[in-house]
Amino acid sequence: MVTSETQVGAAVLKVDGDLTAAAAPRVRAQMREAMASGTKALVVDLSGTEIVDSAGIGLLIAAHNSLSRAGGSLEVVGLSKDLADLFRSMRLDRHFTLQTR
Amino acid sequence: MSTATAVKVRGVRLRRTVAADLSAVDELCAQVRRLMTENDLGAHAFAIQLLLHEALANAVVHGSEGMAEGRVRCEFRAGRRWIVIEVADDGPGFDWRRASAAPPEGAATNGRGLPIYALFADRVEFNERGNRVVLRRRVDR
Repeated sequence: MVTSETQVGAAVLKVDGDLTAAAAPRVRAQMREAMASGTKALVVDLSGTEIVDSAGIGLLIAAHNSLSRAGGSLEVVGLSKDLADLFRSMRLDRHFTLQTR
Repeated sequence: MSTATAVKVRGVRLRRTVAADLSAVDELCAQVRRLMTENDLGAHAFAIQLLLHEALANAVVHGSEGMAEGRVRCEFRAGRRWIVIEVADDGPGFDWRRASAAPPEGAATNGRGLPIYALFADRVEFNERGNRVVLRRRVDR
């Protein structure tokens, strides 16, 4: 997991590997750390991720909900075509910005 | 500790019984990924990996909750027409008849497991109790 600060209040989290039920606790902790340090605009980079299961999707939704309540935003970038299609089928594009690779 | 039987009988087959542990899920999914690559099933890799992760994670998280030594049984097989995933646990099951295959409305954080099954499998079957699922996907899809 790599986090980089792009500007005050913004951060990029690059997820290593698949975002599945096994990885969710670790990624959740990283997201909470970013938000606790003042991040309002969070970019989650999935360019190294092949699979996101329902637990991973739930984690992204939860992050979106938390950020929205704080007046912030979530963007997910680096999506493969398969993941982008999955996310659109799950209606995630109604909640946060998606970008493909 | 996992016990394993890998048998090739008229196609591709992998049968495993693993501890109800999410790290075991990842390991098993990786084994199936390799098997699919070796058998020219790469076009279905994303769909099968997702279905497998969903079914196994459900068996671990929901089907084996509270069990000191829960076990999850999985069989993956592929023939000329169908790719089949079967996953079973020893838990109480769930009322699949009342579950929805449609993605949840709004920003709900759960409820996407069955929609994922519906999206990537051509047939989804549960046993009566709801602690065994069979997911079938056409090879020529």
